[in-house]
Amino acid sequence: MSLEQLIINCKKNDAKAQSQIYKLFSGKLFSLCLKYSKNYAEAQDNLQDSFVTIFKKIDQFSHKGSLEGWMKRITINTALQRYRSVGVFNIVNEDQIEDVAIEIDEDEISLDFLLGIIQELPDRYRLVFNLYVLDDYSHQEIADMLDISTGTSKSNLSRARLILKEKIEQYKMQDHLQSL
Amino acid sequence: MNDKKHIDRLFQEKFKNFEATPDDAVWENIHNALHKDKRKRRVVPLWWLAAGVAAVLVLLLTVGDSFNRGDEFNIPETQTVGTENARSSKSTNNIAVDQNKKDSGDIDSSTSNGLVNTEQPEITEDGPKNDVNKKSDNDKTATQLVQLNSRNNKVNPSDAQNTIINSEKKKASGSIIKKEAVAKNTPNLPELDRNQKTTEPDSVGNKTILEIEKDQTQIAKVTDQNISKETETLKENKDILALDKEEESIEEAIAKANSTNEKEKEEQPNRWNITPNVAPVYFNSLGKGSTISNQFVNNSKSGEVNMSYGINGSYAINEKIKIRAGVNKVALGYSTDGVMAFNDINSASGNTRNKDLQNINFTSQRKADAYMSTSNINSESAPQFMVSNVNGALEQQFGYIEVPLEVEYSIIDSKFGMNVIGGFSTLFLNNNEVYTVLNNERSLLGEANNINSTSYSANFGLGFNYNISHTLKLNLEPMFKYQLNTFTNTAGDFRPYFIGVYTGFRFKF
Repeated sequence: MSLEQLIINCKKNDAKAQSQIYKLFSGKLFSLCLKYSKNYAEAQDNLQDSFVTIFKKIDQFSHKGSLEGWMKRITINTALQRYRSVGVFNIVNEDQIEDVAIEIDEDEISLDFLLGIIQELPDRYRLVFNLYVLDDYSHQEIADMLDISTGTSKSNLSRARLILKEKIEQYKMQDHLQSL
Repeated sequence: MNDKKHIDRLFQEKFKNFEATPDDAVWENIHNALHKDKRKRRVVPLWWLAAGVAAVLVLLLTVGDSFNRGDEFNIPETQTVGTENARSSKSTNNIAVDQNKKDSGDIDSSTSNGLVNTEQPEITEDGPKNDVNKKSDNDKTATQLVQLNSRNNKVNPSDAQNTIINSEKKKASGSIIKKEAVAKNTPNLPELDRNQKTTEPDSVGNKTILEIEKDQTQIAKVTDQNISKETETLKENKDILALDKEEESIEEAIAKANSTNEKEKEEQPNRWNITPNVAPVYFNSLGKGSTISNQFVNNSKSGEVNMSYGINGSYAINEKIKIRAGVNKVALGYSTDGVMAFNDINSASGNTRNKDLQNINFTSQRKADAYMSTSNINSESAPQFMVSNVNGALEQQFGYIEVPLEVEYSIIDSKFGMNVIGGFSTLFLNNNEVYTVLNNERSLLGEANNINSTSYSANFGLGFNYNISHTLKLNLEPMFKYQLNTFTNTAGDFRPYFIGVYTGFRFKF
């Protein structure tokens, strides 16, 4: 069955078509959820909420962009929504630090480890880092989405990078020590 | 090998083709959320029905039991849970966990503070790990935030229970370290050992104790064996507590469980109705006959209007069909006209009289009376004393506790509604009297001996209702109830029925 047909059937709330769509996209969207959530359980919650929203609103999908892009936006929005309601975005008075480029040695660092340290980031750092670095949003877009200034977005990104760099270096150090 | 690379590039490349497979349960939850209507119709009513039947049984048994046993009371089994948490080992913890599962809300059984430790994310360990702890000894309030999340459990937010446990306790080694652990977890003990991975620092402020935390995360690998070990520690702490009053707050835990079903409740439509009702009921017979004696078969009978009142509850299986059951008290009666009475002083034995009214057990005072149908008497040839007594009647009164079980099918459902009702009732006799009415004087004669203590009726009717508000309806139901198996040994063709016009308010909830 073509994707078009699946979408048409989904609009009729057809369980089979929904299951197909889920099978096609759950892997990608779940990886997205994992990045934006602070742990596995929260990621599953987000994935679930996202798909429910997707299927309920699929008749609003206008075929202008790709279905995947549309689904990703809903998923990211669902993830952000979680923190919006908690109100973490209203922390003010961030020191503005300069955007520093960080260089690290590339090594055999596992994806699991990288995901872990992303999840360990404070909520807003994690969101900004994900949006900017991994999902190609601009600082202006991020600022709009999170209801912060672009300056805050930039500063959050720098701090996120710093934390990540530290953790990677720490990890490498331990790795190095163990191998001795 | 050691390429210099911007951190962004590293992440971008690693995550480019990143895909992860979620648990199957996620899809099930999504599916259920999207198709819950269908499921509800098929599954929930059965469940509710079963629950309803069970509730009625429990009610009946309880009532019956209290009637049968009189003042013999069972001493209720009391269950004390977890008050001696520290002393009893592993098993107590399990009980506490079970309590959590049952949505029991706030758990408030305790060690010394009236609070309970359901799950201890941390344990104390002798050995090299203590070195780490000693670093922070000087500051006895090294705060640690451990967030534990079980991977599998928090799949559905409404199902998941978040338990927050604050626990502060002493190290067994004697070094005093006050720790505060906030554990977010579903109360599933074996899941704990999965959780060490997700320990995370609170914020930048915690950076300084990052190292300590790392080690303590390993400590946080809680397994079942460790719990008993830990409770020993707790016991020890308790002893210390007695000595050191200042440290009263050392052992403290708060557990909160969020109730989960609120969401579901909101989604439930109002399926249950309760209708108190009252009705005038008219009793009569379809055929010619008599329940009292064969001599009255041809006498004219007149039905009486009595009252019925009761309450019934209904459950909407779907939009069209409701089933309902209830309890009504109903009084019925009719009178047989053209009865003459005389004092049977001449009759030496009761034989003749018994033949006359074979279906009545007389009260002791009225044994001497005799009754005849005037239709058997030719008033012209009869003796004068007989003719003068002609204007009497026999009035039969009986009452039931009626338990109807009916189905309502809705034809019109708007502001004004109409439905068709069919079903049957079980009738339990609770009143049985026969009166004589002679010269407008009414007196008790006795009781009928041919009324079955349990009988049935087939019920048909129409229901009309008017919506006063979303939850309140005005009901009007003319019902025809054809009685079955009411009398034994009737004369002629006596087919009793009664008609009632039931009115009442119907409350939805």
